[in-house]
Amino acid sequence: MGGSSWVTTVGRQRGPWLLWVALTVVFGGVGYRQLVHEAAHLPTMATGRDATSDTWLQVLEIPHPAAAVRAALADLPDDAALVVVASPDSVPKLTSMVITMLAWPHQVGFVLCNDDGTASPEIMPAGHVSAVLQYRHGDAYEHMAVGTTPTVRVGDSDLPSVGIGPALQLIHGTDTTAWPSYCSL
Amino acid sequence: MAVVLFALALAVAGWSGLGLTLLLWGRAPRRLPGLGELSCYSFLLGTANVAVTMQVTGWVTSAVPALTVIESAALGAFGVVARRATLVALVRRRPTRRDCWWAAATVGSIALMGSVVLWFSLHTSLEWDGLTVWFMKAQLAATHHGRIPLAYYSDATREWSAPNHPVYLPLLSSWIFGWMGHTSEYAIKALFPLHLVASAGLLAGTATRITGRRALGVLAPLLLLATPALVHGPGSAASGYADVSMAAFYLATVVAGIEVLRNDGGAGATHARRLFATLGVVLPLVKMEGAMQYGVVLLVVSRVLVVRGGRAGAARRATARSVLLLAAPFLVTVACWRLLLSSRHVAATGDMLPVTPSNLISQLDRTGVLLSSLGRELTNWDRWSVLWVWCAVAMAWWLVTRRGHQRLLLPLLIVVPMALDVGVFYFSSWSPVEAHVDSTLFRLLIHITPVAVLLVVLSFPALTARPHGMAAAEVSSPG
Repeated sequence: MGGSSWVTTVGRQRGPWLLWVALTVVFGGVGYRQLVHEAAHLPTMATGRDATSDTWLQVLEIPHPAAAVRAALADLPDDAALVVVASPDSVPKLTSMVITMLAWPHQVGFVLCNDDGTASPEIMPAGHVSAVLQYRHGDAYEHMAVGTTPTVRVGDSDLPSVGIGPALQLIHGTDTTAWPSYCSL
Repeated sequence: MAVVLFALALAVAGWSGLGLTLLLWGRAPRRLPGLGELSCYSFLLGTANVAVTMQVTGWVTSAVPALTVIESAALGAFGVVARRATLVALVRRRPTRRDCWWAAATVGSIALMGSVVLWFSLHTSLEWDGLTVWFMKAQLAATHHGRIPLAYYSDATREWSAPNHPVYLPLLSSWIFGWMGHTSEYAIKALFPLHLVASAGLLAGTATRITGRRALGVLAPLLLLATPALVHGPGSAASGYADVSMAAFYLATVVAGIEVLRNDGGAGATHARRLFATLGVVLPLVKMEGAMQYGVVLLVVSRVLVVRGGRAGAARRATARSVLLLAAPFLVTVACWRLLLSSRHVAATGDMLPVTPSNLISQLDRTGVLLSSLGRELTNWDRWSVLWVWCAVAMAWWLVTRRGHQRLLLPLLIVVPMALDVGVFYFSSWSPVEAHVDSTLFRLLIHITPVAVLLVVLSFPALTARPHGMAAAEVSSPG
């Protein structure tokens, strides 16, 4: 079959050739200049198996936050669902997604607490919620060393909790725990 | 050690791809591409073979990684043994010193492009979809014996991670993690630049083979590198998105489609069609848009075959058989994938409305917004340099200087997907639609970027009047 029709049928092409050379120069000049500009502004990023997750969990203000979250959730039964509680402007959406990713196989809901104490549930798990991950901007949990288990009053019960760095607290419920309001914890 | 195991995982995949590519090329193709194109096809088809094998074996057994290793090793060995004459003919080529210099320059330009892209990739995080859509599934598969657990598909709290997206990248990544012994958000970023390198190799090989002008083979990878959207930012090879992979497979399909038409009626016709049809299995598994992309190439190539075939009864039947061979694997794959999603009750993401005439009619008033967004995007120099302006000029020149059915082929394979990429936003559920277009359209354009570069390169005018045949860069049949 006529392969020759894939190449030009025109002979000498000095004018168009010069145009193509000029476009090559402009194309390369604009493109490479942009790349050099972007290369100069790249942030320093973490390496390692949790490189991206750790970047998005920097708001937790602890070293190796992904590993810390994974370790804190490791003792929960596989079928335990949990809810992440945060204020609307404190946690980027991707942060909650990263926590959900790390929390497999648990179902993970996400509740935003407004300034007036009302809740805006973004996603809620289908099953019973057995634990709550509470994020507070700043150093609300700085006094809670990792591994200590101060209790949190929820309804009529005192529930154990664990600090995962200065901004994140894991509150362990039970199979029967009723959470009256995630925003009043 | 992790680097070695990473490379080993890809080497095993590439071995299976080598066998598959040789089997598809056949014993006696009329025009045999070179070792560069063989390497690119081996990478693309080998990685696709791994993903497909993992998906299929995952339905029946939990020994997915072991079976995939066995299948890959066997496929590679079978292909190499059965088609050793083809391989020997390629290896025994006696290039001139001049050929060697040109080959070294081409490899150098691809290596330069690959190194810069890899540098960007290793200095940036996975972007949003790279982590939450693709890596998340890969991690799940890696920690569940190479299978994405069924519970994931019914987990309403993870719907944002798009469970309906295809499995090529997640399963390929989990294959690599299986060899490494652990998942890694850092190491996996080296996978995506390899797809861009494969695109560069295919571009260089195709441009050289078709035009006989080896300088174009050196230029093509550097043009890819000069397109910032491919190198940095969401959708790029550094982001962990599937768009650069999709672009590589779309380019491979377009090149295979060109070969179908170039070989039509010749000795290599059947093998060219088999390669093209095999890519029809792969594209829908890379990204959801893959089905649309393959459909476009299939329609355009089929149209040319039908027009060429004539109206006589026997010729008509032969053409129908050819078109059926090209379409059947693709249609079966799409049907199986849809069946799988429906059996797992996977809902579509809420970003799109159902594709119905009434939804289209009700959103026609978006036309102005969509066209202006497209115009703004195509002239975004920071993202594309002057690629699309150059592509438009090249298209006009191509239409003026080419004859026959090929005249419209490449322009259509750029313009039609681009129109569909824009048209899909008639069905966006976002309001206002601009935010959806601005965050997505440029990534869809990445899919057709290597084909746009191919058109620009192929249409590069000749300075001298000497005819540029294709035989210069091709070897004769070993048979």
